[in-house]
Amino acid sequence: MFIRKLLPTYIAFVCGTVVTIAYFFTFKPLQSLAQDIMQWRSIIAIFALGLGAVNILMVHLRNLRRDGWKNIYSLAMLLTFCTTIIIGLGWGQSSKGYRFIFDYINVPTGSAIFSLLAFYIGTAAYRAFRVKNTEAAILLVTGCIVMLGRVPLGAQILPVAPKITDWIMSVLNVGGQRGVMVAGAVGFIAVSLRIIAGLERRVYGVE
Amino acid sequence: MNIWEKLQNLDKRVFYVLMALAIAIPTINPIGLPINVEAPVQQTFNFVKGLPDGSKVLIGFDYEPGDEIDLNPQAVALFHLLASKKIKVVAISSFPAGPMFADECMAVLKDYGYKYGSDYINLGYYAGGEPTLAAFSNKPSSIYSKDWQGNDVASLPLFKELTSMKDFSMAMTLNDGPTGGTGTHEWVRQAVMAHGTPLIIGCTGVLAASNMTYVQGGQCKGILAGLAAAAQFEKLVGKKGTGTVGMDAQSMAHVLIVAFVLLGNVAMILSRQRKAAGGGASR
Repeated sequence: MFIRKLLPTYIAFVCGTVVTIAYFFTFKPLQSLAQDIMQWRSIIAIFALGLGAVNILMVHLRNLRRDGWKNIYSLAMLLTFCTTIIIGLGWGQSSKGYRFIFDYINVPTGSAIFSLLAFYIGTAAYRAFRVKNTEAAILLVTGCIVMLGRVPLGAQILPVAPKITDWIMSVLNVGGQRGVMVAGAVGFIAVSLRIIAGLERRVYGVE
Repeated sequence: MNIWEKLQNLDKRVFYVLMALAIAIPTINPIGLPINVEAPVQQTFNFVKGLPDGSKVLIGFDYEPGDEIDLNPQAVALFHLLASKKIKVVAISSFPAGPMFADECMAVLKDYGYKYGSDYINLGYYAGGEPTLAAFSNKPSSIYSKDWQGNDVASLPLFKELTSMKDFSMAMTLNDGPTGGTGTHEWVRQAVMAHGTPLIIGCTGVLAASNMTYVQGGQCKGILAGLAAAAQFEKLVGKKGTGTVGMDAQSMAHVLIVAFVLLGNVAMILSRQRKAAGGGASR
């Protein structure tokens, strides 16, 4: 009861209150304590990374034990995971081996997956962007103008596109985004206050 | 199925082939389309140009593989301008891949005679997101004891000059959103609101919509959004790079998508008219 429910609440209350007050007021002892708390947060995050690594290792080892060598994805995952860790720890991140993994495996695969979006979004837009009602027509016209206005060739085809795009982005878009962000920030403050006050305990895994 | 109905449901492989060609051909043979500088990019350029010569800037490489296409050209173009003003550069990263990108982009500084340790440093990855950035902003030595290459930070003359975020004449975050690391919102809170350090944003094109709010509100001094902004910044600094080359391919891809969307709609409208006129049953 104490460890699972009360202790996390006390820690959250002390840390939240100290860091919040130190942000708004200049009081050296409190600011020093807040700085220590933020450093602890950094250390805890590093342990969380380690925990995540161990978790991934256990999940894929379990998969291999269950399915054998047939589970090629888990095998590939474990091989690359262990190779990267061994090279990173043994020779450092600035070593040639680590650089090779990053330049020739990590970056190309990341870019390849990301670049698939151009194909999927393109076909999705072609099939879904249809003028079926007024709202869809507005969305279509706006989308097409912004797409043309953001690239040099689009500006050659439709010379007014960059100016209209600029207006859409800086007036219509910013107005909407600002409303969403302010509403989100108010909600964020409310949830933070509930956690600090101990009213919100689901974040500790307690109902 | 008449021709208009067929056009509404073209095989997606046709689109894939056309898209691949639209990207590949201009990349191999750049067209050299004229690049017009947009107001936010000009504003960013003017701000950086106005920084005191020899001052220090902090750059956050907060992105992962996949987004370097947009963000690396922005960083390189910016470094050309900073180097022309002898401004010292400190790089930090909230993503594990960030220091590798920083190392890659900072290579351009060597061409200007920059020396590692005294003119630029790459401090590496920090875990913990915003609280760690806050701790770094208050006292950099509380987070980093070694740089990315494993050097003791006490041996780096530039690091010795750092006491807090206030030492920087400008901070910049190159980010692909706040997921897993620090994004624009976190940097606005820790650099601008807590320390009053001017901030400029470098982000992927898709984040322009949400990040523009901070520029218009005055919290940020400028924004570079996507590859288009990188190409425009390259034009302003007079150093053509991958941003300029990439804009030809991006232009073709955008126009192809718009053309397909319009084609689908024209086909749909004509098909409806044909059906209304009683000719839609033909096969």
